[in-house]
Amino acid sequence: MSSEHQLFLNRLKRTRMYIRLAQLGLVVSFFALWEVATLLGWLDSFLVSSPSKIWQTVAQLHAVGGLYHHIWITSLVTVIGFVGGTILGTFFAAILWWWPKLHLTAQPFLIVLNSLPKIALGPLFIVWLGTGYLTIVTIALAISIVTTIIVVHNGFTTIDPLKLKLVHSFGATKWQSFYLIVLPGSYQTIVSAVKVNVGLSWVGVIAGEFLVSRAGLGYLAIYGGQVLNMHLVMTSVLILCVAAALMYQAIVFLERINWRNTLTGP
Amino acid sequence: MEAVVTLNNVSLRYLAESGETPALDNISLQVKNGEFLGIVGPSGCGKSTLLSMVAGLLLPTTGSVTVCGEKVTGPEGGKSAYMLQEDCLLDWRTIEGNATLGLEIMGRLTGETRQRTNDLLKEYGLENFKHLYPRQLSGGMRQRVALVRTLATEPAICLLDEPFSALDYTSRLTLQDDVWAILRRAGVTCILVTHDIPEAIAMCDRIIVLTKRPGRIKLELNVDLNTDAPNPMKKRQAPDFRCYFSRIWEEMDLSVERASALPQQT
Ligand SMILES: Nc1ncnc2c1ncn2[C@@H]1O[C@H](COP(=O)(O)OP(=O)(O)O)[C@@H](O)[C@H]1O
Ligand SMILES: [Mg+2]
Repeated sequence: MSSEHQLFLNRLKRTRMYIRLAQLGLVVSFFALWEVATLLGWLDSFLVSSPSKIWQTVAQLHAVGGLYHHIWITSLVTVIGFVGGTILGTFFAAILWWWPKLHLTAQPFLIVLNSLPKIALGPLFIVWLGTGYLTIVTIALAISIVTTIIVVHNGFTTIDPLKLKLVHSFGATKWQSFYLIVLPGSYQTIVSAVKVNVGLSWVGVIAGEFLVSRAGLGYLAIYGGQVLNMHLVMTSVLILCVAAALMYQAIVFLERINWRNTLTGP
Repeated sequence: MEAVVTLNNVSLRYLAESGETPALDNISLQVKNGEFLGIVGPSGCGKSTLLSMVAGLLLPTTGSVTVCGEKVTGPEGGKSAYMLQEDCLLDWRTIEGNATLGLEIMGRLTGETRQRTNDLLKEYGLENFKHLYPRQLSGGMRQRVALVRTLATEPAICLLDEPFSALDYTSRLTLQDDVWAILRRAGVTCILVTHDIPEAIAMCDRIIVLTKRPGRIKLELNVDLNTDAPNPMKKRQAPDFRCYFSRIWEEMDLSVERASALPQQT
């Protein structure tokens, strides 16, 4: 390696380190300022809580033993929501791709459903499905499924026409052109749908927990609000931040694995 | 010699809501076994349409298309195989997986045909790349893989639809030589569609010039360059090459395009 290159790499490394330090500094000073402001009475810790109070709340929840249960429940339902939303959405997109006339018929209804705020269906799901997790999962699914259908179907129908021409000339059946070209060719579209659905699923699950649940981070937040325990509300919001960030990182990690090549073989 | 492909008074009109587009009008031609037929004509004159009909992807509005003595009624793997503008390799399959795509679609992928495909890859210098993915190969090598994919199905006729148009000039010249040599050695019957007149003269035994849309046969010309040049590159240096070029150039309906392409004089 030339000395110039070495210098260049060092400079790159240093820039990266400074950025990390700046980010860390921002987080630390945010929490420090928050703590100091409540200690000195600039802010009312009854309303905005404070880092030390949040820490105490976490410790309490940990001692009582409920903390991990809440985190687990909410994360699990979220995962079920976005995995289910993506799989079902892709499945219906495939059905609509298979029967274009069905798609033409369904299109206006899809547009209406897509613009409908799905949370408004919450009361219906409660009456139909009860006040359990089934309702929460359904809300999460309802939020992500329609956009998934629209986006993935669009991916299916914009596959390179030359590739389709090629397989048709080999005499491919419709099913063959689907699993050889259309589905693997829409891999990127489906991956982006998954990423969007992770966010939508969190919204659905938290909203669902506001409405019906007796456990979970959304439940903790709404319960804290009802009994005016802002420490509890802030605690659940912070944990939610961390959980959502971790889940996003997990998705990014999974994306790096080349599933398409692994699954479709040689 | 026996004709591999026969078109008998073939016409094709595209039907759309906005009206009818006559693409080809009363085309009759034959392609003999082992012959290399070139079809040139201005863009939009129906060259790709003609190949689609030979492949069975489109059925003629009137007239009939016969391949190997049987009337074409739909795409049938094994009779004809395409080489298209783009190599259309599937990024998610290895080179070997791409080369065997046609066989796999036809359900003819056996140990024996796989072996033969591997022999072809070896013959064309691709053996060391067969476990790589298309993005790791250069444009010229990718087109050679596409050619192996075409030949692996042992088609009665190869349909080449402007197969070099996406390549840069030098790769195009090199690949013309390669493809020509490979196809000649395999003794395959070919129809080469192009708007590159020198390419047609250098590679083909016979050239058909089509008129502007709707395409009719304007000129049919046997190419005999009076040279023992071993490849298209050398054939370009034959003294008669220029005569063929100007003959075809005059017959092509390029006058309108040429006038509009000239800068406006003020
Ligand atoms: N599916 C289609 N519907 C209507 N018109 C078409 C369709 N495909 C091609 N055409 C028209 O038919 C003519 C011939 O097309 P094509 O065979 O692709 O020309 P070429 O390959 O010679 O450039 C073009 O003018 C094109 O606009
Ligand atoms: Mg064309």
